[in-house]
Amino acid sequence: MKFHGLFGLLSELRYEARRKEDITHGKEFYMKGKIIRVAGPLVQAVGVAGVKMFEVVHVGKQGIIGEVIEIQNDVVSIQVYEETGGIKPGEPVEATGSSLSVELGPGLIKSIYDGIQRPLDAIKEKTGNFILRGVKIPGLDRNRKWHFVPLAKDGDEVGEFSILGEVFETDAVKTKIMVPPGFSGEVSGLKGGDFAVEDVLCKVGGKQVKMYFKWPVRTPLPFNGKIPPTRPLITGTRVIDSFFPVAKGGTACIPGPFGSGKTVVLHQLAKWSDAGVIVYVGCGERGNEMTDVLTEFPELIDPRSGRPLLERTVLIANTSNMPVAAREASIYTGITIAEFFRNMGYDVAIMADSTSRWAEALREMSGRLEEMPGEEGYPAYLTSRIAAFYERSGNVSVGRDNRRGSVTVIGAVSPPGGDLSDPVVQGTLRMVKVFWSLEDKLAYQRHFPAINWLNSYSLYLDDIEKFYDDKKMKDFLVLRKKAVKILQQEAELQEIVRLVGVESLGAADRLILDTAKMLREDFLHQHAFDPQDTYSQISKQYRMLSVIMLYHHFAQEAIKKKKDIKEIVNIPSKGKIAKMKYMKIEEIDKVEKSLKEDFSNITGG
Amino acid sequence: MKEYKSIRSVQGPLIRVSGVEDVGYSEVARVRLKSGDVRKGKVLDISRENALIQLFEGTEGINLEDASVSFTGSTLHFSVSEEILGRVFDGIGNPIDGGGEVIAEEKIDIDGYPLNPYARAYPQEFIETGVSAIDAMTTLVRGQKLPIFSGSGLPHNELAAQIARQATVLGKSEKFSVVFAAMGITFEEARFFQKDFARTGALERSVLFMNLADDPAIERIATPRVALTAAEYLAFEKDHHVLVILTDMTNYCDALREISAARKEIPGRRGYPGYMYTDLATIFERAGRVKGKKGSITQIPILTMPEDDKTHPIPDLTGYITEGQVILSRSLYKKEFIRLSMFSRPFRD
Repeated sequence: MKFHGLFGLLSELRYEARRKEDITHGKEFYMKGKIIRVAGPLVQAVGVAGVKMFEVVHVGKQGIIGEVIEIQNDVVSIQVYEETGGIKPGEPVEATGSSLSVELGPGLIKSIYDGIQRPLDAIKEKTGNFILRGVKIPGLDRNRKWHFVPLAKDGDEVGEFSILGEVFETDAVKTKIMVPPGFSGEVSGLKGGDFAVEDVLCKVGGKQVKMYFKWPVRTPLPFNGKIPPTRPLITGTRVIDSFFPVAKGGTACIPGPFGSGKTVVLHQLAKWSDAGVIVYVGCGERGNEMTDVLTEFPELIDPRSGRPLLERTVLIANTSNMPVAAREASIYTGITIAEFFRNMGYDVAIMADSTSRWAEALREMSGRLEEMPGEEGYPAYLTSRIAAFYERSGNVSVGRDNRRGSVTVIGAVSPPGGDLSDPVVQGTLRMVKVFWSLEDKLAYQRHFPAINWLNSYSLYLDDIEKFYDDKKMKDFLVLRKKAVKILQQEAELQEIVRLVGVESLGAADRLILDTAKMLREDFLHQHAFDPQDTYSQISKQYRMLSVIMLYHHFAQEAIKKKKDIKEIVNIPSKGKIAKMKYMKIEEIDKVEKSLKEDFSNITGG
Repeated sequence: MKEYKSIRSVQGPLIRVSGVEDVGYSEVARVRLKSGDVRKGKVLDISRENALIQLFEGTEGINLEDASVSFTGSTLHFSVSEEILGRVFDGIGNPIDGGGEVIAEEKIDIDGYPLNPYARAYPQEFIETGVSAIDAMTTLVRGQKLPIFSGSGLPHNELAAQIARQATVLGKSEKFSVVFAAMGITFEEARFFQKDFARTGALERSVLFMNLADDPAIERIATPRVALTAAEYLAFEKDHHVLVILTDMTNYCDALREISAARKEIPGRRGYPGYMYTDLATIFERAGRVKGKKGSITQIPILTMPEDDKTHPIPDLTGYITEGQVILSRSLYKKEFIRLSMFSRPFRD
């Protein structure tokens, strides 16, 4: 300790001397220290006294990027975002004065970034097929010119996040250029034209405003206030939209063992959700999955805008073989970008696949810092970190015009062995309001999406009730409630069937089994790779569900009239009901008509 | 080269040396024993005063007074050229077939670099394995990683050898090679593969890395990495389609646990280290195809599930990283069916 004290004193004196020198030369001054220890992604250094927690530092001769995660006297611990092989004690460490930040401005859409917002396409150009060390490329292209159309004018009084103008980025997304946080006052010198991101656009309150600003990823982007969510996020997946909907600005989690189809579900949500902007974070998952997104999304067409899906997507790929510390940062990078588009007034959905890998990255760094472990070796602050992440979701009002925007957070969790008692699952369930329980058993039975209809839940049903009323689907939630009840009854009846056989059941109970089977196979089951079935409009879902429930209603009536159950369950129009998922919405009317005819034949004849 | 005689502690596979200067993380160290024996190790933790070295070849016979340590100044590299085809190496890449050193065209760091997801090409081209259950039920695609989950006593080696022997892409004559990495398997198992490759003429297009059950356990940490370095070279610089067989990953994971325990790290499930997912991913993710390159790496890792338990950490973590799996079934095997229960991720064509 004495040594550190002396060393610290010396370095402080040196630091003072250098600082004075630099300041007299008008240079930006940052401290340089020395590495004293390297252990995997953890590097310790001395001589950077005065460095802040979570400040970015450049480590070693190649200047690779790291972040301060612990300070003890003179010794700072740094988590390094790249491989540390070959780095030696004694090599320099340089503070940068700023926290890990992302650049927010035009050029984010259609980009693919690593965990710390380095564009992977630019990295490929620079270092070839493999990611070498020490690459520094800014998140936004400095050379590209954007056509800026002003929406404000000189003399306007503006505040944080007031819209100055917009940039046409893709057909699906117009990036609004907003007054950066911390700026307010009168606009001057604003004009339209072609600008690069570094060009000065105008002055606000006398300060220069560029097309972009930087924001530290671990700090939520400011907004005026949160508003309770009232609109569902329509995803086109029936089991989600009809049974367990998530609200715009809400949170959902999707835990499941491997092979249960988490990634397919998340891809489906990324493809078809009616959000304005999608941020997809591949956090410690397979490289080939990101390639899948990259090759598939440009080909798929958004049913609402008619444009390729990639035109509203930002991808963050920190695959499992990329450095572990950057994985920890990747979900913060993702959510900060999501908040940026939210503040423009978009509904943004962010998918994180998988938050377990992020938690494991936390655990790994915690272990190397020799912190006292909580459950399963995870750090004790795991749940508070999870909570802080999900709390960055929400339906908010922003700017002086109080415009609305939302961030919906959907996190995949990969519990070991599919065991839901895993601390990451439990920590997440305490925070989120929607739970989609994936089961590998269902996947092996080829029931996709393999979301269990008995365990899953959504707490947004009451909040979004009005949405269905407005859309003339008043009884949607009533139908849903009945359908859920039938499926629950089926589970109980199956116990009995297993013991004494289906013949022992009365007609009413056998009808429940029959309707439940239809609900499962003809409604909940959905084919992700079928061009018609992959996306189901909400109105079509409503029609499908009403036809099936109509069947149930008619059949109940017929049973009351003592009609034979065998005759009821074998009506010809059932084949048509099974095909509804592949039909257009107009054709469902015909199914309903033939269903009515079938029953009038039974009860009338 | 500076030799340090300042070994302070020896503990399991780890030694601690004090007073070292100018040593980098992950650098290769050589420990010279009094007998003249030289053992290779790797720096796991380096501070101003101390270096913690993990020895690949065990610490038997090392004492604090007589042994000395020197550092090579570089991380573990493997010398590659097309001459490696047909050769047999030990678990850290030294030739053991009596054929002399390989004349290196290039020396490559065995840890490799992460493949840029943007540079990847999506796995494509169905590989006909000739195993009807695989070809019909699931498919093996170039660039995929499809592990075989097996149990003790099941014929996973036969299956792997059969795939290596028969794996062809329909109607194409392209350069095809096999990289085989044995980790802690028995002499007989290794001989089975060698014999099978020799019999079918696959040997001259194979590279073998042998770390057998009686070889040092810690050496296994390097074995799959050396093997994949060879595979990456053949695939992406020499346009080969490479099939990599890694057997048995369970032994690899046990070696990982051994080091973790020796370092007194906080254990995760069943004593395996918390970073095992990341560690395995750096191996399995080295499969794939690259845009604009002809070659590909397809991986078939084999692992034996302790007690046939799929939720054991090793198959569990492997399942999360790899793309589908082939599970050998004990009951089907007893009924004289060979194998399988399977699942392969759907790859769009």
